[in-house]
Amino acid sequence: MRFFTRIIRVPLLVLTLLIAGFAPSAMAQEASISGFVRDADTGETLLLANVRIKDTLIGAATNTSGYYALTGLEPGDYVVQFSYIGYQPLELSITLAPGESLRRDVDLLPQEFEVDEVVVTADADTEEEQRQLGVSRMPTATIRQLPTVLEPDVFRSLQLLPGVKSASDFSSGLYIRGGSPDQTLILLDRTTVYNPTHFFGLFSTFNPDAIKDVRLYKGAYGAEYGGRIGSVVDIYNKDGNRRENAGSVSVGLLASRALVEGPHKRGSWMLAVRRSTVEPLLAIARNQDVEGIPNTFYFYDANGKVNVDINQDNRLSLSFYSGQDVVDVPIADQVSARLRYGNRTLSTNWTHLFSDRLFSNFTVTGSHYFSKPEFEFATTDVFQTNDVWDYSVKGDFEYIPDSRNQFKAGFWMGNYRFDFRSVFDGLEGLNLKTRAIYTNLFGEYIFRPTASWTITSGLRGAYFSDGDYVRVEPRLAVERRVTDKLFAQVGMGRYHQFLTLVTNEAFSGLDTWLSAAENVSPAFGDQIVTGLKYTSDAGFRIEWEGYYRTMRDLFSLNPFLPDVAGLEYEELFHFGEGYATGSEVFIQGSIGPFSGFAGYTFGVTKRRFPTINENQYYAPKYDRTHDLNVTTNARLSSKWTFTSVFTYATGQAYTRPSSQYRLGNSPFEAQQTEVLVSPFNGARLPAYHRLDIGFTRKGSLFGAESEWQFQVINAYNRRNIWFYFYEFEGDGDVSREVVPQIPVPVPNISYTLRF
Amino acid sequence: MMMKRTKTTLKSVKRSISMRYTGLALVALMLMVAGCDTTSPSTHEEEMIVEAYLVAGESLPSIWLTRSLDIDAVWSEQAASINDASVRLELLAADGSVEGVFPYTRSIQGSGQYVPQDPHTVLPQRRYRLAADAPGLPSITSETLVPEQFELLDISHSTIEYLDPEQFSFLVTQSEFADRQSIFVFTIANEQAEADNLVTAYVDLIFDQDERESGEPLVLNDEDRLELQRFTSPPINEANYDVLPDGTLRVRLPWFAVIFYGENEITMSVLDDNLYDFQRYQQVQQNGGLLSPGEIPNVLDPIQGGAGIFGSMARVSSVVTIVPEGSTTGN
Repeated sequence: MRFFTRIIRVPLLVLTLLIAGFAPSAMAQEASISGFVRDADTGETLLLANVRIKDTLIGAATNTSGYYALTGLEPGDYVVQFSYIGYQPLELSITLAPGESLRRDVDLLPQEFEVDEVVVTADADTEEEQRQLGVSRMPTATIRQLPTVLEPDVFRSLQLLPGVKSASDFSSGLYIRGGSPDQTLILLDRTTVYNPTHFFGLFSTFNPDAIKDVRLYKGAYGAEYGGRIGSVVDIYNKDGNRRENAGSVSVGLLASRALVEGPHKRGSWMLAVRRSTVEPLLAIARNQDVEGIPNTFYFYDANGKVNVDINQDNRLSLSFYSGQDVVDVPIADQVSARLRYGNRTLSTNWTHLFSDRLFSNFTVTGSHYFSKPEFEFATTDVFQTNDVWDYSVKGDFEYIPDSRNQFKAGFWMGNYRFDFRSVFDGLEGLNLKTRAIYTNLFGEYIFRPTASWTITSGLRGAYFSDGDYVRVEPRLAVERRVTDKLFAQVGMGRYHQFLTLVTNEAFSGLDTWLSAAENVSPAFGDQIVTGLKYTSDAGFRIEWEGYYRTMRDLFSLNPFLPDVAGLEYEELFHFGEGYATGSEVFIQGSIGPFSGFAGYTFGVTKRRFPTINENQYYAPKYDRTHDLNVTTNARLSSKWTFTSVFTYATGQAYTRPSSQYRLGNSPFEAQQTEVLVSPFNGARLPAYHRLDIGFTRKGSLFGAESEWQFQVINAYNRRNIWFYFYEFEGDGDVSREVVPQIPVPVPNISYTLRF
Repeated sequence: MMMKRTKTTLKSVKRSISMRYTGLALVALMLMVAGCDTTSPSTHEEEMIVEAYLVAGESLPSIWLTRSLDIDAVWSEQAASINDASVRLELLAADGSVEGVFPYTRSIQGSGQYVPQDPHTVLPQRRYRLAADAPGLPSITSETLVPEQFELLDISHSTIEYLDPEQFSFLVTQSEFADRQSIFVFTIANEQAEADNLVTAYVDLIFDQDERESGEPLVLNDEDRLELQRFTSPPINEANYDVLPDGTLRVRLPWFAVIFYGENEITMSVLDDNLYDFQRYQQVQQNGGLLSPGEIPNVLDPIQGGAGIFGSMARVSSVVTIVPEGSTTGN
């Protein structure tokens, strides 16, 4: 505890000095302009909007609260340009007196015709200095419009970006730059979400109606994030419409959604709910005596947020998420399986402006993930309970003394609690209770020595009490503006991870989190990323990024342990390492009514564990050497829009057996014991390709906007292979069965009404 | 002249474009070659396969030798068996020296089967080494440490109603094994493995609704009968069971393990490291577990120079008669 006190004392002192010493009165003759950038229709703050002094290179982007500050300005007349993709740019003429701190909150009008375009922004859309390496944004309008299996899905949309891969058609898990899903930190309103899936992994929990902003940090991310050695997905719920009451209802094949939002006296509110609507279909199937139909199957999620503007410098918000999947399947007489899993999060956020130069944000978060599978077979009851509670407090400070210097600092500390209990026929085989305190501190300095160079250096310290681990993570990014249209960047950093996920690619409902502890060192990795970003005069964006990353001290549950009762904690794991390298190209643009983006990745991922492949490196299944995604959008008329997504990828690694043998005299079984001998993942499946198409028709119903969506997934009926299943036959053969991915064209239809 | 220049220009432009496309195609081809299949295809290498299970306190077992076959070959006992090998077992002293040698000869009963020439009872907590040579194949060796014997002190029922809340249980002494806890497997075997004897849950699992409701007698096919007549649990750690104050273990039989009514022989075995490793890896190879679909790990076997299993165990057995619910029971 003394150590804990000591570790937070120093940065708090630094922060206090920052606040007390620099905040209000620095550079008395210099002027500044600051404020929030918002959507003019809804009042939603816009994250990473561009703010720039016209005809200069002085500029900034709004932060995650929609706040901007241009400081250190000479007194005089300026034209400030505000822009954000999908919105009409705005120019504001201002006159700054010596020492003046001008506050201007700005509302941007949406460009209606662009909303339908399929766009992805890689940080600032054009010339902004806040551009970061490896950062992509996925507008929710795009997510809603892309053809997708059954439900519009945040993660499946992210899987279209270069460097992001999916494990299969049935998994929404994010495999980013060679990392497994547990190497990506998922944040919803600054709160960690531990199992972001519905339907056992088929799609993600995030309701696109409720979401304002999705940002993906693919790698070499800055010091303000940590806790995972791979990537970060930072998602923000909508604040709610600050102008008028509004809402939408959407009915789909699998689920239906509703959103209501509106203003109140001092802010806004939003509530979005989604629930599966397959029960009538299940009831029909049950009435037809179809076997194996669940007695109960549903999922739901609800997102809500309330914002209160206390005054110009203080804003409060309270947001929650609650989601759950429930299934109860009667497998046979006296045999049944039940599963309940889900997440709940709650966060309170206070945004406070100490001055126009010093911005702060404080958040209190709570997150609970639970998974409770139960299996009963002839009175033999087998069940598990897995709970993760995570309560935390975090604070972020941003100090911008002038246009050349910017400081960020913050803390994030909290308490993890993991409970994992396993009971078989009344016998408790495992009862793990892990309690750990974690503390993270970071500082970041962004220095712009000239208009062409931006150097971002940072340091993050992490403490994890279970095992008393203290880790330091240096980060560095350098950006060079080669021309007005071309940027060159390089970034690197070290990352640590104190958690690991026990999961199965095919089924996420049993996901279990375990943590580092004494004799189980945290995983760590180094990343180096370099990139070029070019924007043509015609507005085409071409980006290239190359990366190399290591993964060391990887710890994951040993898959060859049939029973863990009585084992020491460290005996549960096998420890390994890996690396990933790759090259990504991203192109985005529009010509007339056509728009779209394409991403190509060349990637290599290798891992090794002593228990697998004789400790030799192997390609995990999700490794794909070539991966191409092309997304197009065409405005056919004022009412009709066409969207398509084409994917091509090298076949995944799989294990092709080379030899077989059979043992016929086992005392444990009457039939032969059958054994395959294979180079682990030594072969590749045939190439994967798929085309999804969709048409959207806009209309109106009783004065409200309406929208029909007609989509076909796997439009040309490609029979992609998920995996091969080998079976020993009685006649001495070993047969190979193909288990396909989505094997047929799958239609999808939905209807949405916005009022 | 102008016309000619234009043609020349067009030709050169076409050539230039053609060269560019050729270049692009070459780059693409190189990428495909370099990146598409960075892993090599598998190749079969023939190995000697051994199968032998030593049981503490019982006579030396038979040893079976076969060879591995290409995955595309049709397996048959005749094609796989090795009949011209020399095989011996060695009993090792604590310092690793050879204390006794037990030569094996080929059995006339089955192809690839070898039997000990001299009688010997397998000693608990002792180490045995297998050595085998066959023409054209690498020699193999393997060692096993035999678990300590343990005793069956009592059984709770000789006859019990299916799903009786009391459950059938063993009372056994503990079995120490080197520096780890004991690992058990439970095997339940029934000689009357017919559909008529199946317990309710398994009837539902094995036969679909149409078959159950057809009115025809239900019949197990040979494959199902073989699979069900001897059923073994996955390896179970000793820590699952409470040690009674007198140091004995009370082990209950979970009802899900009972497949047939009638006389069931229940065997509780304590495994050595070789059998434990072989069992757990082979089960992951068959069922996948936490690995991604399509990832098939090799079995961890203890055979140097070949593959298969050379393991040892200690075991106790008992017979219990399971009668349907509602039948008269007697203890």
